[in-house]
Amino acid sequence: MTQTAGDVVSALQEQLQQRGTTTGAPALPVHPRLAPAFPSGLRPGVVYSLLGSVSIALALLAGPSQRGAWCGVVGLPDLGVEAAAAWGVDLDRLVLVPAPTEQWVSTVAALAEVAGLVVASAPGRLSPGEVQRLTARLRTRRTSLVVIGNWPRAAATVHATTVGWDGLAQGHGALTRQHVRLDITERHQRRSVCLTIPEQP
Amino acid sequence: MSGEEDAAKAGGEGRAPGRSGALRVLLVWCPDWSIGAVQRAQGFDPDEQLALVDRGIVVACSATAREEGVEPGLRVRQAQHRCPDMTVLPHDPALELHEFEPVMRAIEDKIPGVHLVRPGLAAVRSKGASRFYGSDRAAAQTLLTHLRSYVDHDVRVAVADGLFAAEQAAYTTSIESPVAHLAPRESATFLAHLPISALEHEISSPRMLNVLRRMGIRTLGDLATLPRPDVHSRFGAAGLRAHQLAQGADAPALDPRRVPRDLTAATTFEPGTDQVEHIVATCSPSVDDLMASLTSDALLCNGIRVVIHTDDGRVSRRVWRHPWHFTAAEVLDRVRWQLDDLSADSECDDLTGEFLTRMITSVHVEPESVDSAAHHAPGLWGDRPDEHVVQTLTGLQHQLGHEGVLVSAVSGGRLLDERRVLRPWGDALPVPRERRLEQPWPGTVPGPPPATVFAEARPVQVLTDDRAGVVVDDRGEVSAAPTVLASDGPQRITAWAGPWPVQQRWWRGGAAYHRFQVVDAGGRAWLLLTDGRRWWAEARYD
Repeated sequence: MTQTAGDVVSALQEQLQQRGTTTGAPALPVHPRLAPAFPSGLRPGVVYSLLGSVSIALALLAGPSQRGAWCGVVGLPDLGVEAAAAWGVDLDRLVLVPAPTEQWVSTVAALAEVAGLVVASAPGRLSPGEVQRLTARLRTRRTSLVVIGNWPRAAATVHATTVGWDGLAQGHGALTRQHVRLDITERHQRRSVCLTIPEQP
Repeated sequence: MSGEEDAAKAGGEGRAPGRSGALRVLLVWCPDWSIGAVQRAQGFDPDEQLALVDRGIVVACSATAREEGVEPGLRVRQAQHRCPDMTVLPHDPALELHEFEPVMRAIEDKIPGVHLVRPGLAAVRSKGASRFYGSDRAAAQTLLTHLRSYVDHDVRVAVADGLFAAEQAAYTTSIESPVAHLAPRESATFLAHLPISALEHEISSPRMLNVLRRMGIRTLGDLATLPRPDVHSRFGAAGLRAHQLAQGADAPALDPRRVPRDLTAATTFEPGTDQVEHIVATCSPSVDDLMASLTSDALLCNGIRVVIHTDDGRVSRRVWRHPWHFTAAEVLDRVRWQLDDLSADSECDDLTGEFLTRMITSVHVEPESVDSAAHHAPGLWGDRPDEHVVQTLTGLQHQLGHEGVLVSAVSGGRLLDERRVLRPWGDALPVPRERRLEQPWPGTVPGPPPATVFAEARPVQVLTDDRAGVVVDDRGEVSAAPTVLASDGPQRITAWAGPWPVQQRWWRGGAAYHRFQVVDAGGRAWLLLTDGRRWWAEARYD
């Protein structure tokens, strides 16, 4: 029995996948506001490290969520659900595990089974074996993980810096807009994007 | 009496000729049902002084409390003044109804087509029954004997024309003579002598009754002699209904309700045990049976009530709601969680210094809200998420505990933490109507919602240049411009605004708070709360 061309292509894609390259796999969509920062979307099955902004993490959840994927949030008991909803995250498909405690790895691995994107606070110390097993699981499930904090060998590191706020003065006014600069380091390349959130006050 | 003839003419409108207006009704009344139901369900001594309260008004009280002068309609405080040892419980119509189901079933055993008037009061058409048992009296007597053997409660029976007349006749009975019988067409005469206040429960218009009383109309007979069009035009629909009732022209139909089968899955333990896994495993077959009988009735269940009895007389009663319908495994999970909660509870109950464990003597699982499976075609509301998702998340829940995996919704409220509703995975979230998002919430924060909302507000310090705390007085005057915010470490404040008052249930003596928005030199923006002197971070924009 001969293999069809399609089978061969998908087998090759599988192999490429397992080597950490992304040919062929559809990227996770991102929120239109973040499109300049992630022009080709989020790569599936890899870990991003995000520093400095929970808002950006919520914005990253919005893209897969709007496409109908389940999303998970691990270890963020103080998550602003209303802000997530404002970004367009479908709360009916958002699962929160506020306190995974010792079971951080197994929780993230379990959520990777069902979710398109998981956002998690950085865990305590993990052994290299645990890291390896988790990244392998993420790769096979094609689930992306955004770690808020540092992560060894992240596919990309996103530094978010708040440049300034509009609307608040000395003793009067109210916050209307946030200016954020994203510095993204991916494969030794660095790009910076400035965002205004929300676009219209 | 010419009035009666008029009444007969007026009442004859719109009805088939030659038929008396109201239906012959056989009514079963259980006096003081509300109290009896609570006493049985919660295991109260019948002699205990007890009152049920709805919105601060006593709606029912036990006989012992009544002896002390407590009566329905009193304010709680007045009632407690008269009877200080009384136990006050919230009025729970759902529980009363639930306790009444067995009575409905018992009536159904003898006479089919039971109409529920309200918990404690049920009616059947007497026509078929009296033909079957020989006469109205015989039917009433048979029903009474059956119920007496079945129900552990005072039961009275009345037969009359129409529901209203039967109810009024039932109120004339006593424990010694528990059956009231009004011959056909006798009802109008019986009603005519009743005071106008008999209408109070039927027509919730105290103003109308008051006006009638001031007009000198004191009995239903007086009301019945008035021309119906005049009463209608003066008092509207309530007047029309009152006039019809006064003339004994009650609704010519009953609405028989299909009494659901008793589907409770009961498991008893003799002797009691505290082994959670053993209990869950023992309950499993009866829960499977329950699910099978639901399926055979083409019913789906998305709410269950789990009642656990312990050997020290405590009852743990909890309703679990599910966003879609339950499976047997999911029901058993909830039994397990409730048992876990109960045993966690008993550890705190450690008063004597000894370790107390409660022995579980029985577990009851009752379907609380069932619906026809036909209403839940796949793809509509109530559809289960992908089985894989359910299994994974339920598995995670087994690992982390019931409260470990949550789903969320946005709800109405002033404080940000109140606006965030978190529920364990598998519990139903509040429906949009309950979230009250569309209501105006004066004092809510303008601008974009903060990404971090602290589950518990964190204490911070807000200082002036000379390191003194910023104080806000009752009128919202700020003592000095805040310049330093100390949370993890001191940071200069670059911009701020406030105070914005948060009016939060001041009528319950809750503290008045003021809100401030500040931006610190690190670029982080905060939402702060203060009661005047102390400061907390409510949320962070980051």
